[in-house]
Amino acid sequence: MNIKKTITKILHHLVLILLLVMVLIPFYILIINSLKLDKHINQNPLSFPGSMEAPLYFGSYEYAWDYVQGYIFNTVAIAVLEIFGVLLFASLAAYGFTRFHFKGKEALFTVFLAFMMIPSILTLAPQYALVYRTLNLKQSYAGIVLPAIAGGMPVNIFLIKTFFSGVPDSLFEAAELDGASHIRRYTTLALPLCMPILFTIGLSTLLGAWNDVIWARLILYGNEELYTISVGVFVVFNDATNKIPDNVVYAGYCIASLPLIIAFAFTSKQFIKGLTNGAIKM
Amino acid sequence: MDKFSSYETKGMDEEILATEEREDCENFYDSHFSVSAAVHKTSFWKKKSTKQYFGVIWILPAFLLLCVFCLYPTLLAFINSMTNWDGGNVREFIWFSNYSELFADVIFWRSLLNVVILTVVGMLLGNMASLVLAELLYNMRSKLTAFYRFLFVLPAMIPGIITMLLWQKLILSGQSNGFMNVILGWFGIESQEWFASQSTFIVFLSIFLYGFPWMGGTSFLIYLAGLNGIDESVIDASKLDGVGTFRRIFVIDLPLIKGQLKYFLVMGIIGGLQNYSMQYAITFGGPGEVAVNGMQTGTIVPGYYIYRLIYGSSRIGAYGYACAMGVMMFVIILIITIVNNTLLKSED
Repeated sequence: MNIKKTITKILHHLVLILLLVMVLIPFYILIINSLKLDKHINQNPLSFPGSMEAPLYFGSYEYAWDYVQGYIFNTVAIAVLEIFGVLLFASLAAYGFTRFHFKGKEALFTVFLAFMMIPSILTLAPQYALVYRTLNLKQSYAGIVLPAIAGGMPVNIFLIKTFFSGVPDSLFEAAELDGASHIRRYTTLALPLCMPILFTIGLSTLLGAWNDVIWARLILYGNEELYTISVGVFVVFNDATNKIPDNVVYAGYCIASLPLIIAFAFTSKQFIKGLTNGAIKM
Repeated sequence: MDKFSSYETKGMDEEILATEEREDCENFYDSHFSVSAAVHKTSFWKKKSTKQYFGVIWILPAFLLLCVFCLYPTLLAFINSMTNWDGGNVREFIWFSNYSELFADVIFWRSLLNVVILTVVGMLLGNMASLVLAELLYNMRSKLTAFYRFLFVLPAMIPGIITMLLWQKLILSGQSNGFMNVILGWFGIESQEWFASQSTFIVFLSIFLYGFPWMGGTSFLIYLAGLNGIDESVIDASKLDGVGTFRRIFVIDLPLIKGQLKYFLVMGIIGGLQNYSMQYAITFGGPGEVAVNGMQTGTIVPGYYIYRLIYGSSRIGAYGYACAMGVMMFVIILIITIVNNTLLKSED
């Protein structure tokens, strides 16, 4: 009986390890190719760097860093602005919806909720025309950040409001009797109590900013100084006229992937909790 | 879930204690609260009913942003679906010509067919893989679970565009020394062009193969959280009754994580019908014959059609037509969502 259990357990681990290998193999192949010379990549993309076939070469990282450092800076800047804006405006509105009681509040909230039903495929064309031409926010951070903050409002207000509603009224009333203003109640009571959901929203906003390529490219195209990681990788590295060798491209991929991986490695517990939090609350 | 929520509450308590009002709050609780809370509550709202309208100020920034960047574009989309808008100042009402053209547009119907195939197959593959992984991790009950979980989430931290280009260039590359072609070679199968193939079937196959075994990412976490939320006693009872693991998965686990399954069904359809990242980054709608403004139609989807209309299209009234297409997609998604919700509700 015990032997059978042990064998099942070992099999279980073997299956998982096999799957894990399959999931990670593309990234392994990426890394080995970032450490080789262009000609060796063409000869055999699967050869191991440092072998007879393909000597180890670190130089690509130096070249790639020249490109990617700017992209990383832009991406981080945009992500920080988006996270700050989303958290600030959504939590303010959620506070307004939970701590105040006025006529038409429910109707107003329904308007917000209704926008969760508007798919982005409907608004892409007019939003692009509006932001790019009418508001003339082309080639600027604002053209990316403002629509992203606005687009995140409905669902994020909903999530924070759910959390705020869970805080007992008595806490707020106690604070009010003590003479705490609304702003003070918001900063010292509501916000600290809702850290988990704020973290979740911040995380999904971060991943959204990090992965967005279509909108960012529409807005930023033409101004290489402002390219984000995704746009830079897609537009500059992929452009045959730039003649960037493959090893530098792959090294660039690796560097561009690093910041989030490092952040994830240090905070994986909160990360994973944050990722599951939002979907379940919905 | 229990673990999560208890952690959160603990965090909350610490946060409150950290606030300056700590002592005041406690005093308040001790001496007054239990007796007079109800009285206070009613008098609060009555006294300050006009002040309650200040709530609008808190909501205003979010509302203004929503109006400018969401409400206005939505209105523009509906209005301009009946114009020959060029995205700028040219805008004349042509009423329903866009829609009649749309209904006769072979490429649009092709794109709808493609997106349905891609969504259905993609959802089946992705959800089955995520479920299998979640069940594997759930049944393992080992200290290593967290370690595996970490490594399976890791790919989600890499920018999506990089993963796509990486698969195109190194895994499903058309060269005979590409990873997939080498593996095919072991079985004596000849090399394929994959994404660059002239065969629509091969390109579709490449899109489906992309991400194999479709497990890296975050969706399995949500299934896993659902499974972890199942009451231990139910599992124990099934064990006592001699129900095997495989039967338990179908009889107990799946019905109990219905919420998560529904979530992925609804979100998967809404997201899938709008998705065009593979077309955008890799296939450009190809292969197949070239249609309007250099656009190929083999793997075209509505989202990509719209994108090509607003970006680099020379079609007259392209934005108006794109808006009409957007409205069509909105209506389709709305109907599917409503049908979905009614069907799923009646099941309960």
